[in-house]
Amino acid sequence: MSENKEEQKVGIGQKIVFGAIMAAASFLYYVVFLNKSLMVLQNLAYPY
Amino acid sequence: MLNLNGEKKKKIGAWLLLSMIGMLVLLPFTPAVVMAAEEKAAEAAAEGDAEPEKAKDVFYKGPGEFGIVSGPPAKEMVYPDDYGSYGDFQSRTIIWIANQQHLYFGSFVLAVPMFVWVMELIGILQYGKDRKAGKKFDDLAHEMMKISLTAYSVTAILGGILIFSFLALYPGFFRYLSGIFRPVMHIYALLFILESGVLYVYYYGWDAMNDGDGDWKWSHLALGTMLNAVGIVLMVMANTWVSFMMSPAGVDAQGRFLGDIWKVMHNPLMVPIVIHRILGNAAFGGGVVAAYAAFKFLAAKNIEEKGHYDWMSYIAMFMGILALIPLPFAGYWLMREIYAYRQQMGITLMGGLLAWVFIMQATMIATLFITVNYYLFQAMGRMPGSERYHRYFKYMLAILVVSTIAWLTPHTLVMTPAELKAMGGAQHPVVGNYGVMSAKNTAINTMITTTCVCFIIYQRCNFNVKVPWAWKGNLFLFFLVFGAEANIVFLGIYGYFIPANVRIGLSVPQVASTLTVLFIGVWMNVKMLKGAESVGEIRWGRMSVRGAYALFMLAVAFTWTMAVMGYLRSSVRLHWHVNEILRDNSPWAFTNPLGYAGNINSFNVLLFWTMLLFVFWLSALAGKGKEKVAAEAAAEAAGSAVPAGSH
Repeated sequence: MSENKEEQKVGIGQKIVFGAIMAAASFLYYVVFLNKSLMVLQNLAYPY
Repeated sequence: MLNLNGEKKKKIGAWLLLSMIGMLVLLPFTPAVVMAAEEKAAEAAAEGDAEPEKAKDVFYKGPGEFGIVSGPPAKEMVYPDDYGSYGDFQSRTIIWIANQQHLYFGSFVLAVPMFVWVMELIGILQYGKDRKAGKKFDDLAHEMMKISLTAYSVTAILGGILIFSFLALYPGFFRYLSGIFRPVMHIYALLFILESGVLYVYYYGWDAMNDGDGDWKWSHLALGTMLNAVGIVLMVMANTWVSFMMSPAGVDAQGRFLGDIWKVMHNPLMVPIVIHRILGNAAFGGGVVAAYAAFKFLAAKNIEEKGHYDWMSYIAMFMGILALIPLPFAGYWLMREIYAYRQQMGITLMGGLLAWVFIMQATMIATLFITVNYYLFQAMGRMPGSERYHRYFKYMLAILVVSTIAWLTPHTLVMTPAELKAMGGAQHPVVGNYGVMSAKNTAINTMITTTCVCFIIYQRCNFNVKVPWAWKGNLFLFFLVFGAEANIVFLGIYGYFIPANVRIGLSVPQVASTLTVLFIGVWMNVKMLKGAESVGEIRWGRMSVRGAYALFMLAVAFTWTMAVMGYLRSSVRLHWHVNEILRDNSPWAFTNPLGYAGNINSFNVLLFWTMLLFVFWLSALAGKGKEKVAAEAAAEAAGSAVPAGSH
């Protein structure tokens, strides 16, 4: 929210760094964790 | 009103109630006693004879594979001896309509007590903190129950019509089914007495037992729990008949009962059908109550009344959607079990004769999701501060529309030979690529994710977030949604490059991505809204009329989807009454074409809503008389100097 005073103090550099961490985290979660682990689990459950 | 305040009266009342319910609970066990006696007699007879005849179960393997033959074989049906008819008219259509109407009302009276139970519980829990809020929820629960009560009698009448239709039109089939399910049918009928008893005490005792959050109120809620439990048991029992027809068990290849009724009931498709139906009923019930509230909202004369019904419609819609979101996953599971039971049955459903029904279903469910979003857009109109988000609506709508188009693209088209030749095959060279599950799964997951985002916006649109880490929270939400959507699209595209047996597994991480947005996204949003500054209170009653119409759309879409999927589930047995056991030898054993089914379904939907309008009108009528008398009494009291309570 732009009305938030605390938010206005945050610099763009800080936002970019946090954004990059979040992007990496979401990649790790969705692609590595969800896709990989669920496929592995399924192969164990339905080995055909 | 009944006065239950005296200490002695309370005790007597509680004991009376308990003993009455206790007797009702025992009632359904009477057939079990008879069954036990019968079993003993059979055992005694078997001891006297030589070895009793054993036969192989059509489904169960392993230790329980063989059972003692305990019933006659399924007789071969002969037309016209085993069938009744009205001239050339399809008897099946009459049964179809009777079944569908009974199912609609049955679902409704099963679902409403579930909502009522939740509302009453919230009311009791709120009462201690805020009496007004607690009472508001309690009144809402009471009002919902009032609609259900009238619908309950209609359900029973329709059940009677259904049985008479079976006896008159399909006597041979019904004799076989009731022969197998004899004790279950009796327990079912007796449970109905219990259900009615609990229902009437629950409804008529509402005011008498209402002491806020005291013992009587909790006892009342316990009655509600019992009502729901009995309702679900009733539904499970009726479902076993239907699932037995699709996937029989507990009988041999000739259809002879093998002595274990639980095996017959616990047939392969019973559990997934039960789960799918409970969720479906809850979603449908939410839709119908929301439509009732929308109708009252449109008809309301003043802003307080409008506000009440606006709020009621939102709550009902919300609860319906809560049940709608897991529904496709229960559907997937049911389909998986169907494939596991008979692969051919699965192919008939999804890749053969009935595949087009899934395109119709896609259209209906896409309509549902677009309507929910449209309703939320309209509902945000009554929330100050939502203007900040209005500009995003058009993009969300665009995503929903594109997804809908992708979802309902058919794999192959219905064409004339000339058209087929001109196109070079049944599959369109470009559009055909979108008619596969990879594209369809991507589309529906995108739609659900968009709906989640819309709901997150709805939750926060009249607040200014005040937590110091708001910027981090926003970035987290952005990457949560963006990552999920990117993954959904990636898996969709990846599915085109891998074999079908691997591709089918991709739907699981796709769904998991969607659910991540739903649960983690909403949770984070709620965390961020802690201590948030309100831009303005929700102006209940100020929603546009279009929002109310959207709720009608929602309810009708639910009704039509139920009709079309019911046709699908029933048609998959093809020319069998009971799959591979009892063949349908009537002239109507063919599968009705989609056009005919569409007409019957639409007729069913129209008939149901016409009857429901009557139910709504009836419940409004009861209120009207009271209001009139109260107004007259108030006028009289104001006119004379005598205080109202002095006589």
